[in-house]
Formats: sequence, structure tokens, C-alpha cells
Amino acid sequence: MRLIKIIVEFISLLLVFLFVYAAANKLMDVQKFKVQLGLSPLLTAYASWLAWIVPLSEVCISVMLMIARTRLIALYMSFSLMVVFTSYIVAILKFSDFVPCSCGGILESLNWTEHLVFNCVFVLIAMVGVYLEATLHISGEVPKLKTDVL
Amino acid sequence: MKRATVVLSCCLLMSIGLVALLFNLSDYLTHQRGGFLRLYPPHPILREKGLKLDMTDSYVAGGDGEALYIASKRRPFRVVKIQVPSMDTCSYDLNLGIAGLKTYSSVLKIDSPYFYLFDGAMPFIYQGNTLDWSGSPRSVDTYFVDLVPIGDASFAIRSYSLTDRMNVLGRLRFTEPRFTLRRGLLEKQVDGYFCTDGMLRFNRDTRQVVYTYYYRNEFIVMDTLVNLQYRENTIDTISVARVKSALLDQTGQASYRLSGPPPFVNKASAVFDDYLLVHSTSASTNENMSQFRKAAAIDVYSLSKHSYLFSFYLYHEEGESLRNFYVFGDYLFGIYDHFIARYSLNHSKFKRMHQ
Repeated sequence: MRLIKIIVEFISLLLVFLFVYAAANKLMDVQKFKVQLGLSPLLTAYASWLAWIVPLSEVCISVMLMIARTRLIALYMSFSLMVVFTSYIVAILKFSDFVPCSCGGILESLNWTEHLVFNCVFVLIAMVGVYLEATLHISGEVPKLKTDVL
Repeated sequence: MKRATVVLSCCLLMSIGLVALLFNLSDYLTHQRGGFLRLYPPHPILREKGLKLDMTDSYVAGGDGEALYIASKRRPFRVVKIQVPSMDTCSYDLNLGIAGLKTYSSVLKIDSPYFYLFDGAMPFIYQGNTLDWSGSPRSVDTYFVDLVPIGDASFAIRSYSLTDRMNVLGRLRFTEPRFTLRRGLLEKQVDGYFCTDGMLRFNRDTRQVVYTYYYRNEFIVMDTLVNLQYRENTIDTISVARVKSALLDQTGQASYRLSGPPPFVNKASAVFDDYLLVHSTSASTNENMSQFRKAAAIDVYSLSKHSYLFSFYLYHEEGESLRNFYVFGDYLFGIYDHFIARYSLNHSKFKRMHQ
């Protein structure tokens, strides 16, 4: 149990790092991020509000990951967010009219395929996190939320 | 454990569903008229070579895959031929057999192997060939504002009708019937003159005449008899020309003047293959303003699909903004006040965006 706890904390920390880094990058220059989203054939119509929603939800999830009571929900949310990002990349690569210049990409040094692999790894990490955290919940290691949603 | 799996699966489906929804909605929004969003795929054209132009009041008289012809209002009987792709220039004098003909605003149009010199205020056109640059006048019995050769010794013209008090499109030939007006093609909104002002272009590849209004978001596609095929809107949202014109009456001659700067919607246009290219002056909602300020946004439309395809920028050259542009063969020429920039077209990119 102790080992599982450490692994879950490590996974949470990893996700917090990723999200905070990504959110900070976006929020530091929201205008630039808006333009980048605007260039994407999929997101161009929603660029103005997505430019705020994406980094803010990343911050929210990060905060929730750090609080023990909300960690499980946050892990589910991390998993969902990573799936959204990943399926976005798949959609861009497979179905879009064109792939935007990767120079306008999110992690600038990665190309789209590398980005896809990177994201898949994080989807798996979040999934492992969910299972381990759920185990902790069952064994009563984590104080439960009163409403016990999940 | 089981519950975790169920919840994870739900999350997975919902997330993928969300992206799928965004994707479909976005596709719908960007390709819908009036949504006014632009798509900028990377590198549909490639900047290749530039050429300084030491001519004042110059304009493009015509061109083909091998040469671009430049003429100047200051010297109406002189034509400069720019070889493509070398961009070497040589100039020729038109031999019209008349010395010192008084022309006020003569315009040269080249549709190889023919050239046409006209004034519009005189009811004849000089026709000649581009081999020895000699020509002779041919009577056309009418006055006109603009003219474009559409092959078979016929022309699409724009004329100002005094009875309708507006611009009217029509067809002109050297043989009978010489002159046919097509009333109802252009639609009057404000004064009849400026509000219907626009660009007359001929697409040699599809044999279509395309008229794009300067001051509203509309273009008209016609056949070689100048009969209407269809009207279509550009992605811009300005449907009514915002021209304020003043009727000046100087010594009995009425003349319209624009009061205020011309409120261009479409500043320049070109046609080739299945495409209409329009230089639009309005910024889209997703425009990158820092780029937009130092470039001209060119929107590409499909003539057969009646739809917007994508856009690209033609950047300012040497501090000058784009004045006009043309597509001849595999090249796009950006025309500036003292500069010509040659771009090569990425045909496969155009084709891919067309699907």
C-alpha cells in the first residue's frame, strides 16, 4: 500500500508538472496562443474562448491533483483531458484538410507524431494513476468525499 | 476496480466525442458563408524572384506562361516584356501608323498573340499582334469603361449606361452583332457608378468571365456570351457597398466623385484553373493581425464548387503594399508600385485543398 501511495503521488506530481508548465506557457501569451489556435483548421472557430478554457482547466486539475480528497476525480479529469488532446492530434493528422506548420505547435520542439506518442504515454500514466488511486480508496487509505461520487 | 474501468471508458468516449463534435462543428462554421474565418494552410505559394520596376503609372497589360507584359499610362505606345522565369526585360514600341495620337487614358491589353489598345472614350480599338507589335484601328461603335478580351475577337466590357445611370456589363465584337448589353447583371445599390465598380477578368482555362465588385462581397460568373452562370458571395460580410459619392456638376458635365477614401472590400482579383483569387481588405475573426498588417490577404475560391477554399498572404515588398496580382501559367505575380514579385504556385496544395 505504501508503495502504491508513493507511485500515485509521483504520477500526480508528474501530471501537475505537465499541466502547470503547459498552462503557464499558454497564459504567458494568451494572444499568441489564440493566434496559434486560430491557425488550426479544427479550432479556428473557437480560438477566442478555448485559449482561456484550456489553460484554466489545466490549472484547476493541477490544484485538485494536489488535494488528497479530490485526487481521484482529478485523475479521471487528467485522463479525459489527455484523451482530448490525443484525439485532437489524431484528428489533425488523419482528417484535417491540412496539418498546420508545427512551428506553431504546442510543444514547439516536437513534431506532430512525436507529440502523439508523448500524449499516449501520458494517457497511460493517468490511467495507471486512476487504478492505483481507486485501489487506495477501496482499502480505505484515502478519506472519502461525503457525496462519494465515484 | 470494475467501477474505475467503467468510469475510465466513459471518460474516453466522452473525450473523443467532444473532439469529434468540435471537428464537425468547426468544419461547418469555417466553410459556411458569413462565418468569416480564414484558413491558412502552410506554403501554397513560394516567393521566388523579385524585380525592380523603374516605371511610373505602370500596369500589367497581360501575360502567358512565358512572359509578362508591362505598360505605362505615361507612355501608352511602349510595352515592356519580362521573360519568365529569367525575368529578363526588353521593351517594344507599338507601331500603329499614327504619330502623336491624342489619348487621355489609353489602356493596353495583351491576349497573345494579339494586343488591344483602347481608350474607351473613343469608339474604336487598335488591334495588333505581339510578333511585330504593329496594329490598326477597328471600329466598335460604342464607348466603354473596361474591356477584357475573351477570345474569338470578342470582348467582355463594362460600360456606363446614361439611361440606367449605372454600370452595365456587355459583350463586344468586331463583327455583327457588335454590341450587346446585358442589363441586370450588375445591381445598383447607391449611386450606380461606384457601388457597381469592380474587376472584369477572363478565365482562359474554364472560359468564364468573372466580375468581382470592389465595394461589396460579391462576384458574378458568366460564360463567353456574358450570360449569367451564378452569383456568389465572398467570405466577407459587407454586402452593401459603403460608398458615399458626390455628384459634381462642372461646366455642364456631371461627374461622380468618391467622397472619402474608397471603402474597398475586394481590392484585386485573378482567375486561373478552377480558382478565383481575391485580395480582401477585411480581417477575419481569426486573423493574425501582426501578419495581416504587413501583407495582403488573398482568399481562394473554387469556381466549380462555389465555395471558399483557403487563404494566403502576399507580403509587402520594400515597404510597398500589394497593388495588384496576376496568375499566368505556373506563376503568380505580385505587382507593387516599383516592384514585381514572382511566386510559384504549389498546384498539388491547391488540388488538395480543393477536395
